[in-house]
Amino acid sequence: MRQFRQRSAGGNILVLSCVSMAFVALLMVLGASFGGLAFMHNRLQASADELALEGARTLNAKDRLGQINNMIVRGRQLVYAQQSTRDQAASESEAVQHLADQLLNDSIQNAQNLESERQNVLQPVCQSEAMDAMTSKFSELAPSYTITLPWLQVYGLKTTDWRFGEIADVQSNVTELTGQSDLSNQDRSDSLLQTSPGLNLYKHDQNHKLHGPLSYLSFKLSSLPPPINKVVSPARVVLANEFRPTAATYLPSAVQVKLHLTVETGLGPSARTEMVAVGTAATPGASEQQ
Amino acid sequence: MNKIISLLVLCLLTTALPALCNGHIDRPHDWTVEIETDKLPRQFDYHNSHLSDVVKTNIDYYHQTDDAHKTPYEYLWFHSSTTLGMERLHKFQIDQGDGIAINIKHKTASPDLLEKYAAATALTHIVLDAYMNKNAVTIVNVPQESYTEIVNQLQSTHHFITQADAGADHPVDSGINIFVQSDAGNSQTLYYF
Repeated sequence: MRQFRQRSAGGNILVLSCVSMAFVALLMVLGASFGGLAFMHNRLQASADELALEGARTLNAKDRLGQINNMIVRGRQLVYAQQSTRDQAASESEAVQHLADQLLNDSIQNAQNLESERQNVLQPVCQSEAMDAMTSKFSELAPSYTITLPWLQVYGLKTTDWRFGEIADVQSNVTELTGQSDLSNQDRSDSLLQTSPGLNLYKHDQNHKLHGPLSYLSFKLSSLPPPINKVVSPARVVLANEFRPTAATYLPSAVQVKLHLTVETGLGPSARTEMVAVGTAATPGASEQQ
Repeated sequence: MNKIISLLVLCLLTTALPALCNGHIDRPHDWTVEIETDKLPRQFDYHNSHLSDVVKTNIDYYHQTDDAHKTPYEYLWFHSSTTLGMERLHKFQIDQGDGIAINIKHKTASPDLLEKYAAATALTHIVLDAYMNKNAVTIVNVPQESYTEIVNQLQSTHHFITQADAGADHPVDSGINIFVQSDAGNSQTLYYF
């Protein structure tokens, strides 16, 4: 009787140990799988952010978006000033009227050239260069994603969405020009300025048309963070829900990228899923007007 | 008694009046407007840009008696000879009727052609502003190395040179005259518009 009890107890411990070890091994595999999934998702999000940042940095390379916004406002002030001078010169000699006409016509032609440059040259150049930069970065990242382990397979990194837009509630980078008080007052009464908090900025995504016979001229300003105390805002990752699509004729100042990755478990019951990460980034802000 | 008073008045006129004028008699202008050009190579520097090679002009003015206190008037930006933009900083608060000299300067020692074109166009803007404010531009001083290009640019933009062979008394129907002189003083041209 004593011998039977001793033999039975020893077998139980061995069986229990084996079962426990198998259970722990299973837990370890599951843990490694879930840990791997969490790691992959973090890595995918970091890659999406990196791609968006690369695109955003390129969009406003050398502050080209800020420079065109600044010059459009100054081109607008030039047209306004020349129109005022032309009105004053109406009672002057023919020669003086002719000179005033010439300067006004030059300023109108310049305003049209600026608009053409903004829409037909700068917009396609910015977007195509940003796309090239993101595509190149994607080509660097994609091969490093393929992982094949007994319990985990990762493959098929792809992008389905590259979007250009802007960040919510960011006005244009251009601070109010106060040297021509009549134009400044007119802009304020037309609510073309965002006067709080702190900086008085021309509103974004608006056509800042002049009154009167020159109202056919376009002065379109895009969203871009202004410099604060001469400090330029760096390119930065932002929350996806802050992203807004830009109206077709305005320059973008943010990029959103959507990445997809296929993940498959290899041990036990097979499971296959597609991870998705959305990266959103804003361009560097504008510098001060040189 | 009358003789003594007359003598006193004469003494006053001969001694005190020149002192009161304080050198104003030998200056034909009351105000100086300075136009300084500066090239901005980093503006609009992107592929296929039609606006690169921007030149900025800073325009200040000051009274002859107070050249330490310059009033910033405006900035103008140019691409080639086209004015891209303006930032007015202050009103043209020069007293009506006062004479003005315009001095053109370049920030660099060797300005390129675009800076000279920009200076000529900025000069046209200021001349018109001065005229509208009823100020006569008595002289325009131009750096010697820029003189030829600036006067050529003025001529190409409908400023007319007076004919040298027309004689001093040849009548000219003009609204605005500009007398341009190199700072070395050896080149001078009179334009009318």
